[in-house]
Amino acid sequence: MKKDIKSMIQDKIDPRVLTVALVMAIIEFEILFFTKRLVNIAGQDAWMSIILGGIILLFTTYFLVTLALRFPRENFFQYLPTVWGKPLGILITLGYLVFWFVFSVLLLEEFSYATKTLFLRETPVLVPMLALLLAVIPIAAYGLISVIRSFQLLFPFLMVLLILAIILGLSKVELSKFLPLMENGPVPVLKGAIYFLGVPQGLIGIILFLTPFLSKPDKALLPAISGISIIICTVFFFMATSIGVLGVDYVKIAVWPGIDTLGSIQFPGFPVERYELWLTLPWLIGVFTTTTLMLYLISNGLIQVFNFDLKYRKIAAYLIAALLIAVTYVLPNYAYTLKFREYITILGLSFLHLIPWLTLIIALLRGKRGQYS
Amino acid sequence: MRFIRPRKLLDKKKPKADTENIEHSTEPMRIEPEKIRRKTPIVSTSPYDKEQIVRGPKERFSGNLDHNLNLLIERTGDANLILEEYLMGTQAKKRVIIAYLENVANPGIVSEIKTRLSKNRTKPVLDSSYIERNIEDSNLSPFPQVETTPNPTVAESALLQGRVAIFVDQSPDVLLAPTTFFDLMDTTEDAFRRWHVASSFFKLARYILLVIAASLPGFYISLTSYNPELIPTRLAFIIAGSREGTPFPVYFEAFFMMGVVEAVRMVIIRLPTALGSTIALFAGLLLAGAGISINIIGVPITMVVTLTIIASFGIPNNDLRGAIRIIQFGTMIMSAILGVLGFAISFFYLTAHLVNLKSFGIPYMTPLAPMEGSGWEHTVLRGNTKEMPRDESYKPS
Repeated sequence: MKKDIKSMIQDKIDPRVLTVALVMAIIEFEILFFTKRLVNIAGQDAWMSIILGGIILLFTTYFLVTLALRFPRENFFQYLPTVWGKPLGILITLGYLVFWFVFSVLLLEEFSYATKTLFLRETPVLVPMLALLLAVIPIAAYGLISVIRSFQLLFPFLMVLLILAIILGLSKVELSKFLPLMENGPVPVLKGAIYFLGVPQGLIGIILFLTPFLSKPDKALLPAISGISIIICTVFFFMATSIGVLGVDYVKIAVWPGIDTLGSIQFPGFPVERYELWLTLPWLIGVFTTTTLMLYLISNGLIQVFNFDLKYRKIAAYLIAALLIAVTYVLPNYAYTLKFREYITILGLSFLHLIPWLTLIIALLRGKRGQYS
Repeated sequence: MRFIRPRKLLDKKKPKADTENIEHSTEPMRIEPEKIRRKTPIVSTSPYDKEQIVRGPKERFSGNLDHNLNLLIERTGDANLILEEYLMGTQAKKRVIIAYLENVANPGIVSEIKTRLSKNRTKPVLDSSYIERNIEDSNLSPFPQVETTPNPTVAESALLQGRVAIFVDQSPDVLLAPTTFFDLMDTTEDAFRRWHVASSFFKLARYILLVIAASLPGFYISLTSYNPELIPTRLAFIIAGSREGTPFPVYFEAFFMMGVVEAVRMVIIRLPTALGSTIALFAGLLLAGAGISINIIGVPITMVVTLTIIASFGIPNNDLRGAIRIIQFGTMIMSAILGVLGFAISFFYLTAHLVNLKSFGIPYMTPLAPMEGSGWEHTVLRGNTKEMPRDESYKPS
């Protein structure tokens, strides 16, 4: 039998890649802004909210992997109709697509605003948005394998810069700024933890859509838990440095606490200054990777729902990208964007936790299960 | 198919040293290595060696196919070595031989190479590059997807890794396929150096030089033109002071200086003699010196361009170096238009291209993306092993 390259070399991914994929998919604009929202809810105890929310997030990750392993060769949208019934399954799929679309619009809007403020003050926002999407589309259109490869390629750059930012921040932390503990009781901490649960938007996109591509899906749990743990640690340290360096009162009024934190750090004699602007580089990488994943999920989801051939995914990616840009012009100003982002985070609780949990429970009750091969 | 013919269809009028020793077959012709070994002319090594090394064998392939094959056969001494001969070119036919190790090479890759060779449309095969451009995955990509080497050691190592060597008659450059980005950043000394830590250190240094070569002028343009606040204060003052009175914007200075350097490089290549080098050096120094002294160009851009050129020679592969030179101009253009953001986005474009690029089915950025830890010992770093580190990238699945 003649052996051709397609049958010999398959695009299968090592399960350990999940760790990198989760980190790259989830870290994005929140690097600059997330602290402010959580401090407004939980004050100086925001770090406790992250620990508490992080523990619940680890449980969610476990449930998501369990759900994915029940249908190891299908993605989430493929087995939703099997579990929920066809009409409900399609409805939920469309709900996810709308949710991700709105999330992507906000991400793009935040990107354009930050770009205008930090880099290109006089350039129309359309230019940087278009430039970013032109880089995103080829990867999203090529498929999830390419998306994951781009994550792997950019991972070292992101992590080195992030670790550097955290080390710089930690060196100036004052522990007194975390006192008194639980000044307003445990309720704000709990509220903060719930808010934190809605933040990692890329979680589902990776675990429930990447599993069919894994060479050994049954080995997915440990890498997934490792990835989420890295994210929790990163967010925790960012939170700790923001509160410990700036103090709660400052964080509440700051536009981008992440930038202000590093901006207040000075090392005389060190060859690099204004560390805050260097943080924009990992932020740019984070925005790029998250937008890539979202564009892939939306274009692929649409193709799946309407049963189009996969060759139309490229066209779908271009059309959705154009639509994303068009919708950013609907948002009147940055304050609206931030408000919408809060709503999306709260809504994310249903899409990130409630629906997958319910899907798993219903699948268990109805005895639905996918084939391994 | 007219482009591949078995040995029996060779033009009989053309004398060939080994014709009578080659068995005839209907498909690509298999050659017994022993029959080639008997008749090997003595061929002197090329005076111009683009892969000079301090430690390791100094032999080089020549324009004689039999000599080249014999070098390979003697080096490998492997009973599994398979040689298959093709006759290519619709106008002037030339012998093309693929070599690989049975049970080591991925059958899928070997099959794909044969398929692509069979679709070869070249009229004359003047050099192995004519075959290369017919079989690589993307002609539009700036990155070479087939490695060329004049070094038998590199070819032998490639075969042991499961790759395929393609020999073209009268060409001293042997093609190695598939090729990943990290193969092109490899040198033979990485493997021959005694201490693995030193090898890994120099490998990492080369990657840093590659990043500098691809990005430094663009980064400089973006910082000085759009975001000087990113530069440390004292350095920013020094740069501003040295540019005082210069009539052109930074990006113009950068493009002008890079153009001068490319011209100087061309002089050295076209006149590869002591006189040519002296003329190039003198012209370059004179231009830069005159430009700085009458304040047409700034001192910092001269330093940036010089550092970029020095860094580019850290890239061992000539084709990759050429690609990086073009990418350098791409990042400069993007940085001149969009500043730091343009600089970052130009690298996103590069990422988008690299993650979609493959060489005979192998992702181009293996073993980094997709990440395969087992391949790192032979590619990104050099492992501490008494055996030859094996790159799993080309392993049969």
